Amino acid sequence: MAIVNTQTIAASDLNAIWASTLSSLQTQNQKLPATYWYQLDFQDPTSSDATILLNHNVVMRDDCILAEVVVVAGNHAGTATITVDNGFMIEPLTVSVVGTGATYTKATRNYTTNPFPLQVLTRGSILTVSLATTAASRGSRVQVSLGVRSYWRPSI
Amino acid sequence: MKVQTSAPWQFRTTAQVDPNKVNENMSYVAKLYEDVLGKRYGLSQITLPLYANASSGYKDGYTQEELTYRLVAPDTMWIEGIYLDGATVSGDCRVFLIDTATGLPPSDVADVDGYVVSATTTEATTVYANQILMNAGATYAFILTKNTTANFTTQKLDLTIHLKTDRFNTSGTDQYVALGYNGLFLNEATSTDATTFLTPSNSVSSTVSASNAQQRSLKCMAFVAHTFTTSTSANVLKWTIPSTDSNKGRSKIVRIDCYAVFDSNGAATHDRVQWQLKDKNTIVQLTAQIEMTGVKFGSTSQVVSIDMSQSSSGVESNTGQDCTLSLSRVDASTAVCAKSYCYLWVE
Repeated sequence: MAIVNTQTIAASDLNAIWASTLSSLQTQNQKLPATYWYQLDFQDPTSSDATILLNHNVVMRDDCILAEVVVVAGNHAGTATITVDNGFMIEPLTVSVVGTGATYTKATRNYTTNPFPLQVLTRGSILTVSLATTAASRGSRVQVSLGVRSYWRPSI
Repeated sequence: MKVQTSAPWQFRTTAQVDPNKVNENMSYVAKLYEDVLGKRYGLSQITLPLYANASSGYKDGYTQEELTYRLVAPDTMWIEGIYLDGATVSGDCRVFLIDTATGLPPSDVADVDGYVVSATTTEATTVYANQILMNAGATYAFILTKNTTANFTTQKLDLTIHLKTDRFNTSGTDQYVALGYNGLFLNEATSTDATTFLTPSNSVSSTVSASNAQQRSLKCMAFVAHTFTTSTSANVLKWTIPSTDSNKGRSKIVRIDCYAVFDSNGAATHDRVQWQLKDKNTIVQLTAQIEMTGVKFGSTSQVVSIDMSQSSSGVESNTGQDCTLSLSRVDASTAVCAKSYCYLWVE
């Protein structure tokens, strides 16, 4: 029974007065962060390239979880090994993919095989994504997708 | 703060109502309101290469559009920081941020003289932490130019842009409703009217219910290809949008913006570049064509911007099934496309 004048307030009605509000707040509070894929490509890499051309250094703007590293080699004639590290990780992450030239090859997905150790990237830390390749000729792309998850922030 | 679906104090039929207990319940809700609705900001970052590939950097002899990245803000958002990492082969350069509507830097840009990249062959990093408002629907441009009179050539130079969105401010107006405490608490002067309980609770309930709809907090993904022709391998002009390990972790592509710029080579006056997004079932969800018609190459870029929010609630990958983004030339032209890039916005 609703709370109305001239009627005795039932304890159950008084207890229920905030029920819908709390239920909505719980739903919002439990919203899981979706993974978005932060892209860092290597276009036309070869084994003879200078080190500077075989790495990306980026500063992270947010505390976030690195859910997975996905590597795809397009037209790449060689083994491409991607290493992701920020100096504070549990262990640097490596993903390798063997390209055989005129092919589009995806590395084995981590989440389907080995357990992925929890990797937390902190705001302000510098993440280094580096490529080691055996490819001797140009004309390929090594795509690196970092699966990043972070919650909404109350303030920045 | 953990949210319980029942207030801390639960009343019993045979017990007297203690106003202090009622107040404590109201206080609990008020704290939860601030805590949960206060989580409003989302962050993402994109990296745009200011060099063509491992063997070719950007040079001051290029056309301005070749040295430019345009970016439309679908919602109101902020640039939280700009990060430059790399080196030049020779010369120094700077990156300007302008609002294309005015041709000037946005009003809250602190570094109006641009973000300088000093001449160095040793990898250097520079961070510019400056919050810059990007208005919804406005186009901004990051332009690489000379810093001095000397020519420049980049070796590897990454421009990383940190973006912040606010789920309560997507169009320029803050929709957040602060929860006032006045009138929510009982005291000796409180009237014994039913509205004493109902008015504040109904008000809070409707406000929280409305906030459920404010879930959009866009994040950006950027894809870039340089110097490609009709004979460039399709395997180089294709990107995987990976699936996630859980359906709960899926993000949804709701918008795609594409740009292309051709260099001064070639004689054709008509050419098209096409970006195509295929979903997990390899069904084409979107085809965006950028067309150069009757214009000599080298000085103009055409823009196609398509909002996928009008499609079936956006495109998302399923567990184990990737989406694919591909780029291609439509016409049999020998002209070189100097650069084509695409932004995918996800939520």
